[in-house]
Amino acid sequence: MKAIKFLFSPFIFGLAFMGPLIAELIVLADLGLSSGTPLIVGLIIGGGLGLIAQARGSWIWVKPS
Amino acid sequence: MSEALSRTELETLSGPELDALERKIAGKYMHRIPWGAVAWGLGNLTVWLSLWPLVLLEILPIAWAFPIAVLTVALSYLPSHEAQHSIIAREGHPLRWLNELVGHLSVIPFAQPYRVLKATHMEHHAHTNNPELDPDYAVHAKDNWDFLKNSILRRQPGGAAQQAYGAALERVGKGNLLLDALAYNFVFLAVLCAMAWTGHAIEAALLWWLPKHIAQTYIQYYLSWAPHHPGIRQERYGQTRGFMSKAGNLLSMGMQYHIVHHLYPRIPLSSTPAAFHEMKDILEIRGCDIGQWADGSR
Repeated sequence: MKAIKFLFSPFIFGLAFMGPLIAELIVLADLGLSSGTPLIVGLIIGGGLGLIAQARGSWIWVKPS
Repeated sequence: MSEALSRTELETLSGPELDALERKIAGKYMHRIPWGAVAWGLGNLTVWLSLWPLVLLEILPIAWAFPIAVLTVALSYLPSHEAQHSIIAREGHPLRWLNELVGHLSVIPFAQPYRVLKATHMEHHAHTNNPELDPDYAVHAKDNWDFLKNSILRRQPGGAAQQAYGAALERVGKGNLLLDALAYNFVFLAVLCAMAWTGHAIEAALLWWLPKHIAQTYIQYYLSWAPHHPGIRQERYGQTRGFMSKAGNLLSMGMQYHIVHHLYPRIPLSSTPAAFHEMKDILEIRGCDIGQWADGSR
């Protein structure tokens, strides 16, 4: 059960889907990165957002009542 | 006008007489195979599926494909809804397989399992507007903006979006269907991630992930919130309301006449407007809130 919950967790979604998505958006927007590759930056942002969403129970900061 | 009887004449009829007349009208619209819904469900799925190769092969720009994807995902639920009520073909009918085929296939773009949708929807019909037992009760909100806020918050990781459905399935002894939901969620996530890690994250986001969220909001608004608002009556003639949508009947997905669907779920969606207008006076006498369709309110 814990493995299933982890699989569908915001952290996994942030890392596995949002990370590459953010990387593609960085490339598309032609953002010049001072350090790191778009994928690394995407994974850090996506994974970070996922962790925050997991901790707060919300992707949009506002907690569901 | 009902069976050529005027409103005044209808008001003189007894309860059982009104009931018989209402059922007679409803009967005229039932037992028809909604071939339009069959074509809609399978055709809509074909269009949505075709977007993927068209976009990946760079035949269709993603900017054009995105609105089509939103439209097709939004349109994917209703054909399955016809199947959930066995409107296409009842059990034992030679075309029962088609009913189940449309039910299962049409909702693929919506990434929801037919059997879960069917079981929970039957609970919605059985317990409409019951705070404890209606799986769709949490959609109720005081106005449009409150609905939107509620809809977005409920699907957050800590929200209660799926809890009511899971509880309803457990309550009716169909907890095993949660495996369907798990499998669908897994495939949805796996496709998104596989696309993302092969360099197609934007395509996955704009063909499935974002359209699904937009469609979910749209479907919840027109199928759950609008026709059941304010959601305080639970009796047969008070569960739903008639309303006149500024978006028109097509864009409001035929839900202006949802009263007819709750009273006679076997009437196909395409026939609910005609059935509603034919039994409108009876419904009003019965205590239905027919909204702006009432003669005096226009």
